[in-house]
Amino acid sequence: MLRAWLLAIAAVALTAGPATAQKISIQYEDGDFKVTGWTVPVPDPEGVFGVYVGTGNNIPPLLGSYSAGRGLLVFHPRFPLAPGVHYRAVFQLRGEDPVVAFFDGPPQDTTPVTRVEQIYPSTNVLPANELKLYVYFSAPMSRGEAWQHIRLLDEAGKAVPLAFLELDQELWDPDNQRLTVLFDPGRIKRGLVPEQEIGPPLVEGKKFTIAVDKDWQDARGISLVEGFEKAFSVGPADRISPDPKQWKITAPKAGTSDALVVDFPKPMDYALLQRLLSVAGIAGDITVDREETEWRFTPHAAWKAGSYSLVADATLEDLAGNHLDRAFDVDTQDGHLEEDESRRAGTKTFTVPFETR
Amino acid sequence: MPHLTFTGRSLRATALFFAGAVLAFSASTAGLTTGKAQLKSAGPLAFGPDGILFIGDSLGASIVAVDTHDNKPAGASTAVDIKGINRKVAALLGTTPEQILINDVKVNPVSKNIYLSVSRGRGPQAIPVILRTDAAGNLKEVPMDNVSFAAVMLPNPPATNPGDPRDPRIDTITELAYVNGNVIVAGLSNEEFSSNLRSIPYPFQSVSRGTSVEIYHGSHGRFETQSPVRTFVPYKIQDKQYIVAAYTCTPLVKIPVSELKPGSKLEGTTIAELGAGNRPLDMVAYSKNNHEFILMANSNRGVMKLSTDHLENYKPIKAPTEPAGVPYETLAGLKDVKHLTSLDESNALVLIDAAGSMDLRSLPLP
Repeated sequence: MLRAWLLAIAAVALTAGPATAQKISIQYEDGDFKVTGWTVPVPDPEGVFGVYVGTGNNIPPLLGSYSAGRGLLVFHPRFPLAPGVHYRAVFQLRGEDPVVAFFDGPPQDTTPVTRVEQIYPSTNVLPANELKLYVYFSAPMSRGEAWQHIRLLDEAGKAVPLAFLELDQELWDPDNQRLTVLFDPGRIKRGLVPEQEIGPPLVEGKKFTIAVDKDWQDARGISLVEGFEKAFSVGPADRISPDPKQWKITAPKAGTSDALVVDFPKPMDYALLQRLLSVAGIAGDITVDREETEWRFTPHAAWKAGSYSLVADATLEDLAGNHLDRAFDVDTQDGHLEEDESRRAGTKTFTVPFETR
Repeated sequence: MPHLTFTGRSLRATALFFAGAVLAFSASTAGLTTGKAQLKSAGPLAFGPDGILFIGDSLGASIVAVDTHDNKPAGASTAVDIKGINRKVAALLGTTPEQILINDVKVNPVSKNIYLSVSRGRGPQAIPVILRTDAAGNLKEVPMDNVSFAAVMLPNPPATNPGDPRDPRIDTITELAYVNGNVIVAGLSNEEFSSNLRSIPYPFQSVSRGTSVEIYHGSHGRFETQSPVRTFVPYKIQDKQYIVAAYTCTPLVKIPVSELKPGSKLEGTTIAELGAGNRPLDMVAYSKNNHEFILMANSNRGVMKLSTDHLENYKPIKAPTEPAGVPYETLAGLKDVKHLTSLDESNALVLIDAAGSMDLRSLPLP
């Protein structure tokens, strides 16, 4: 439970009158503000008592509910007191001087503990049309400031402007520990004004760095322990859908709980490999290795001898956002449209059989 | 005549609207139950008929409809100039301005009260709160306890680890609008890159989570991608209902609402291509002096006014040609606009974030 520290009970009003003949005090107990030491009826508790943030004027009092009994007025704030915030409670009967007391929210731990753990893709060669990054943090982060703290730097260490799709909503996971960063699709997709005006953010043959600065605040409002950099070079653009027929499957032996190992000819999307690739009807644990070119599936129960199916959802992507059933941006005039249309209209999953012996 | 649904554009339209509202009253509240509306997060807002407020809850993967009972028609138009709304909101919620996020701003088209979708806190434990203010800046909480509400869950693809409640995948809702009996929802996954435009009949039905439509964008009739819609505005062209939508990859397109049908594959018709770095945030459609316009808040270029007469003349591009695009201009002196929405027939409402102080202001429609 949150505690607040009573810093001071301000002076008892000293003006004469029946209401202030007793000592009025304001206390914070068990999440409630309590005013005691008065006797006159208070038909309108909100009119005589309010709790405010800080010392500023022209702000509304805290939301909450009031109850009044004999000589006791209780304000229950709608939300718990916030760490590191100062509060001012003001009780004022009509025609009397105000009684003011100050309180602090719980103390704020200001020790930096949160770090960037990893940025995926983990390979240090990205295609020129790389679509997205996942930034993993060791603890929950704050929303609302991502685009001030993550930058793409060129070889000279200069920030590349407008590299990312700076969505105000910020694509976090529910724990605020993974941020999805999309490179601006308008600069990657061919034929658009941004792509033609300033070109894609990544240039083949050049080196870049993703830089996260340490001022990014975690969910407690505290900066990171340190900044983080991921350096990489840029290879050719990849506009070809991953082809499951080219995946190398190493089947485990029957009777063992050894991992099924699937190796890809190019790195795949780290997050989607956890969700969109599975073995039909079999429960197990997934690990992704070798810079996202290897997928390992360890079953909860030993393999039996026989036939199994590796099932891939068509929306599984490589690093450039090419799905299994269509490339990121399809050139509808290069002669492959017909093939692509039929793939699009077809199955939503791809199945690769394998045998265990 | 273009118009935002349920924002009457003329006296005649307003009169028709209220007549319709009375007739539709029972329909718009049908299916609502009384109790506690559960929100895990509060994102985009939209108003439907009769003070029904739709709240996009990305974390809860749902759209929640709440009857605000705020349906007393507003009096004369009042200018809005509420300075430091973020300080006021933070004070009301007992915290500092650094610890709140104002996620959306919408105006109840009937009462003209301003609704704010707010997070108290910025971490995963942030508490969603809906507030409303009048033109004078008197803030109140819109209660979620003991209210008439309905919710519809948005379908999610299979979880990463079935049974593990910590599924990292979220569809982030980026825009909502109520259009002719449907709630249209634009969203973007934090994993796969795909279009996700959904049309959900309202009143919500337990059996229908609506229609998900794959939206494609063809640039110059050649390169085609699935294109998530970032923001959109309902828009009528020659009495046919469209949405004008901004893709994440910047083109502005028109999409006929009648074609948001199950299994359909739609390609928006480009009406404008915006330059590099443009991030359309919000749009308002309006008529003035017998001409039609869209006002667009754009994070990089301030507020842009697009002339949208004769959008019916824009046809799907079949060949690699340069689209002509609607003419647009950038309004001078308007910077740092974070949200833009319709206030009344003559005014928009903007939330401006200048050096950490957020102001809500009415903006005469230019």
